[in-house]
Parts: sequence; C-alpha cells; structure tokens
Amino acid sequence: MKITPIIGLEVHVELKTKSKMFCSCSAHHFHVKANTHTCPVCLGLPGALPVPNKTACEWCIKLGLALNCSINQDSFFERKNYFYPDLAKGYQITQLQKPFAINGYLDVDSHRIRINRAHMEEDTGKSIHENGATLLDFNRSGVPLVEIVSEPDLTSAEEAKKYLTKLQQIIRYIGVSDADIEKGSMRCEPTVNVCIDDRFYTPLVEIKNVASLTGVMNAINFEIKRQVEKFAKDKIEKNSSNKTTRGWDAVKNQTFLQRSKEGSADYRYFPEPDIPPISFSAAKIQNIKATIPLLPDQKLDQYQKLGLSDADSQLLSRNPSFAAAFDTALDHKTDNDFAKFVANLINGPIRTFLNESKLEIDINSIHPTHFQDLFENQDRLSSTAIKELIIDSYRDNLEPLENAKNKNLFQVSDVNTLETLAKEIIDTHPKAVEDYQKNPAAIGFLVGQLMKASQGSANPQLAKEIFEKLLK
Amino acid sequence: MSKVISDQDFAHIVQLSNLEIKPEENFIKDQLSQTAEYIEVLNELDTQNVTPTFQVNHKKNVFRSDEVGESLSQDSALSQAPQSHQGYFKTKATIKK
Repeated sequence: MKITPIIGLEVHVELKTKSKMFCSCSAHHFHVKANTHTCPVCLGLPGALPVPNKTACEWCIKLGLALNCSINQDSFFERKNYFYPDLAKGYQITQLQKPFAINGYLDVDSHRIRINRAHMEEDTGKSIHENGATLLDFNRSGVPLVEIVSEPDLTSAEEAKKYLTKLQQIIRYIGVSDADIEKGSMRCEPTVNVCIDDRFYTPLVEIKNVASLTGVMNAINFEIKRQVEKFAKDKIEKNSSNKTTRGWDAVKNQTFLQRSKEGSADYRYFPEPDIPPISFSAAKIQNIKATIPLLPDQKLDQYQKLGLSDADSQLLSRNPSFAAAFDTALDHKTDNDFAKFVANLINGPIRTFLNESKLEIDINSIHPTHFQDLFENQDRLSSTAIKELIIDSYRDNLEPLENAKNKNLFQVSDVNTLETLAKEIIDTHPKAVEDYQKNPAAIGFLVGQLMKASQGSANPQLAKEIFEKLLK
Repeated sequence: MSKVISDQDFAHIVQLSNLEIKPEENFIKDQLSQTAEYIEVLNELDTQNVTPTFQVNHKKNVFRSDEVGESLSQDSALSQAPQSHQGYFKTKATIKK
C-alpha cells in the first residue's frame, strides 16, 4: 500500500506591536493581570469603533513580502461571524477576499511550499476551563494576528517541522514577532489527510491545540497512522462535508474528535462596514520591502561565500542575534581567514559562555577591534589564551592585548631566549635526552620542561622545533 | 403565505443566530419570509452600471498609530458581566474536562 501524506499548515503569529489591532489597549498580555488591558472596542461593547493599527498592517505586508508574496494594493477587512465566549463581538475582524499578501512560497530543502495567503486579523480572548466553568480574560482579545496559510504541499511531519522552523526564523529576522510556540505567539494548526495508492483520499482533519514543534510532528504522525488504519476499515473517502476538527492531547499523545467543521459559508463573511478600505501605493510597498534585512537563506549563502564551513554558516544564520553579532565582529571585512577566526570564536567560546551563564547574545558586547587584535596576534597566543581573552572582552570589555600582557599570556617566540633555556634543560636532563633518542615521541617531556621554565609563555610548536634541531 | 425561507433555511438561521425557538414561536419563520420577500424588491433595481460598495463615506486608509492609551480598570471591565470570578468573566463550560 502506497501512502502519501498531504499536509497544509495554518500558522497564526502574534505581532509584537505596542498596542492592539483596533484599539489603543496594550497588546502585552503574557502573565498580565486578567482583564486589565481592555476597552469597549476589544470587549465588543455596542457602539465602539475599531481603527486599524498602521504598524500592524505594515508588518503584515512586510511579512508577506519576506514570504515572497504578492501584495494586494487594495485591501479591506471583513467580519467572520460565529459564537464563542472568547469572541465577545460575535465576529472576528479578518480578511477573506482581499488579504494583504497572497501567493507566496517558502523553499524547504529545495522543495517549494506554496503559501496561499498571509492576512491580518485579531486574536481572541483567552479561556481557562476550571471547575465546570469557563473563565475569560480579554487582554489578548484584539491583539494583532497574522495568519499564514500554506497550500497542502508538505508531505511529512519532518518537512512540516522544517517549514515551521524556517518560518519562525524569517519572522524573527524581520522582527515583527517573537514567534514563540511555547508562549503562544506562534500557533500551528496542521490539516492532514492521506492519499492511498494514488487513488483514495481520506477525509480532511484539522488539528488544534498543538503547543510545541515536537507536538506538531507527533500530532501529524499520529493522524497519518490513524487515518490509514481507519480507511482500511471503513473505506470512507474525503468529500466536501466530512472535514473534522480534532484536538491534540500532548499527554496521551493522540488526537481526539472536537467537532465537525462548519462549512465556510456558515461564517457569513461580509465587509467590515466600520473600517474604510485600505490602499497601499506601489511606492509605499517598496518602502516596506526596503526595510527587510537579509533573510536566513541569504545570510547562509553570504557566510558560505566568506569561506565559513556549512556548520558554522548554519549556526550563525539560523539565529538573527548571532548573525548580527558575527556581522558586527567581522566589521565588513572580507578576508576568509579572519571570517573563520571570528566564526570560531562566536560559535565556540562565546556560545559556550552564553549557554553556561544562560544569557542571550548581546551585540553591544561585541568589540570588532578586539577580534581584529586577537587575529593579528594569533601566533603569539595559544588557542586557550585566545578563548579566555575573547570571553574577557565580551563579558568585561577588556582590551585583549593589554589583558594578555597583564595575565602573561603572550608566548615567547624569540628563538634565542628559547634556545638558551632548551640548552640548560638538555644539560640537566640527560635521561630524557637518552629517552628521546630511542623514541622521538618522548620529546613531549622536554617541551614540557621548557614550557615550565618559561612559565608557560613558550610557543610549544617552536619549542619542539628547537629541541629537534639541537638534538639532531 | 410566502415560502421565501424554507423550514430548512429557518432551522439553519436559528442555529447560526444561537437562538432557541419554541414550536409556538414558529410564526417567526413566516414573518422572516415576509421581510425577505419585501427586501426582494431591491432586486428590481437595475444595478448593472453600479460598482458594488460597502462604504458610503468614501474614506480610505483610516489608521491609528501604534501607541498605547488608557484601558478600563478590571472592575469597570467586569461591571456589566452577569458572572465573574477572580477578575475573569465567567461563563458555562465550553469544553468538558
């Protein structure tokens, strides 16, 4: 039996504007005292007039452009009508006929995933189910939300994860949202069905309540298996009215039936009469486009061209803060050796230091001249010393060369000084010399003595060469 | 009596409106039919050369800038709620748990 999963993803992203979508209440709602950021507009009180947040609309367009979408220059909001306690007005203000952004795509490992739309809407209130009652907090009601709808082009849970990760990176790069799945600022609803033997299509299932990337993958995999098994028994194929919604239970690791899907017509969409239509000129859209920085794929390409390894390029490009730190340290230089040197320090000691101290990278702690100084003095400093110096530079803004001098970290590379010391060691360690002559690997002991005699400041490679020469 | 709205349509409208209609209130269906029929009059208008619109004031691009203003206090937000609990609006359970 041939099984082809067909997966589409609906992703909701909360924009991190200061205020809500249609009123001036604060959009901040995570861990805020319940119902303290509300007003007649976001509580849906009669007579309230919604006025769109300009920044939110522009960010939606920016996100659409970053996802390779075309922008509808003429757009408008619509009402989507349904009853649910978290939606006080009885309708959600959203976009249907003329979303801000349409027909985009995202390439995942060179598989093009088409994006149907990225439209602007408002979030609902938050429900807490407790003791047979539902409690409602409307602080989240009216927070700007962009819904990104993919075509059903994804073919596995793994690919869905990659798509989401990439989407998340892009959103963070352009800075319009934290896109944090665990905190709910990015929410994913996969729609899954399965094509069996290239002939039979199982009924569509939309999965809700998935709160992590792993959850998305598990839910999709569970659903694929469930549908294949169900089809083997009942042979029910997809039709226009048997789409269902299933919830994801992360504890039991399974989906459960929530409700049969209402048909689209039941929402009775109609243009929002309270909000005049919106029109963005081509020039305005161009201006928004100009604010989009280089995106992860472009960054990756840029880093690979600088001669960085694939691993280094990936590590740096997938996190906008690390990419920015690297760019700052590199300071527009194009020397491949310097680029590799900087990447090693940022992905090595600095990343380790940040992980250990549970800190986020801070671009203000990156001092380009310090990287440059260390690079130019590599031959006088051990790799351990360089690591120590760059962390001191990052953490305490200590100038590395001065710091190296204070800490006595410079290696002695002066051949005459080292030769004098080496001769003394040879005279005082006849046994070690004998050992070396029998077995060249025993040179380590002599080098060690020289390191000790120079108080660790000798360049070990040079020390080795000197002994080899003297004992030839 | 007019049949613009069928029994099936009526049941659907009732469901979408979240209303409970008792059998003795079924006359509403006929009233609704009459209303719908009356509105049908509009279809007699020739609108062939009229651009569809949902706006009458010809405004465009009415925005607000992204600034935070004042919100209601928790007390006033909840003041009209039939039921509240520890700062939350309280309703019948929407999910069985």
